[in-house]
Amino acid sequence: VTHASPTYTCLGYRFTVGSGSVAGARLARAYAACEVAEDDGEPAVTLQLHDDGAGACLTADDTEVARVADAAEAVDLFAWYVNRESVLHATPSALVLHAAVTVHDGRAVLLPGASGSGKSTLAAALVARGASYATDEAVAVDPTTGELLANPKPLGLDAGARRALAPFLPAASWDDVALVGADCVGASCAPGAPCRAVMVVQPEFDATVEGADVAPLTEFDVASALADQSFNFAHWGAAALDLVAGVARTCRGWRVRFGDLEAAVAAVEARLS
Amino acid sequence: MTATDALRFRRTTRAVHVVVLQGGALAWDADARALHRFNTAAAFVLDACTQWRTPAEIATLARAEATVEADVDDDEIARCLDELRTLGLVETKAAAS
Repeated sequence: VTHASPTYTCLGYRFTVGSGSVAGARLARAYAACEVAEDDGEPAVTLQLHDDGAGACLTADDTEVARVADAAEAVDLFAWYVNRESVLHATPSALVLHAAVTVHDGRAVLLPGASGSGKSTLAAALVARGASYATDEAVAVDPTTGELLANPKPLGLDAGARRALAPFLPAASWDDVALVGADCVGASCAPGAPCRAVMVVQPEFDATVEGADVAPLTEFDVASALADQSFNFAHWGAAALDLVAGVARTCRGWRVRFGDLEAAVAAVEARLS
Repeated sequence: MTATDALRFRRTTRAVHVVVLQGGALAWDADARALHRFNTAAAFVLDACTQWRTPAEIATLARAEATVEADVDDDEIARCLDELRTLGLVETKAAAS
């Protein structure tokens, strides 16, 4: 197999982007923050997108693993597959949460939330304002230490999110696609770097809200939210419950309902300071 | 006297891990592979059912327990026992037996 790209890692899942891939160069750029040095670790899988006239298919080491009928969705298919494989790969060693993480002077803010909650947009805005980007969508929690492990995968930002972020990133020139490389928004943590959460922010984008409404969360609220947003809670069971309870007991928790991104960023930064 | 008052309650043998937090309690039921959410009163009631107890006995324990956040009156204890029984976390027998 010819490796046309560097080796990338997402939660320890190692892959390269095959030569000749549809949008291969773009994917390589998007995953640049996940690049790792070649070492003697697990061999990397070579992922390649093919447009075969009947849609797009994704191969892993030349074996077809996923397909979409619309070739325009090929990049989304790639991102979905990498995310799924990353979570599966990480499951034996970590609790994986559906969350974004930003790091502020060494202190991590954990932003759990379902798709559409605004966590990616808020995380990107916080990074544009000087935080470091640790991850979006899937964050691994070390079950022995409770530390969050950075996974600076591309951010999923739709057109609405990019419009909201325009004042934060006036010089950004993003493609007309949802997958945005971490380097487009600011600094990133190194893949696998540990960080400790000091605050949990549960974002809720609501266009009807003027500014941002901030309300404190109880320990129970925080632990419930983290459990709800775990990909593999059942695998870890009681250990997962102890883990989310530990985070809830040591972090301040806030629900941030926002219609205005600037106000949401200011609310988070104020509570960190 | 309600139907619940005529019963004794005890935790079933299911493997349940309970964590009490400020604002409520979470319980991982390993047998059902399910996460349950309780108020702190229900968590207290479950903890009290390590041996056969009547609702009146549980109420006496609750009144002596200052850390229970919720107002644990007899109605609340009956509600908690119903909830826990529905989830399969407590079993019953006639109070007189």
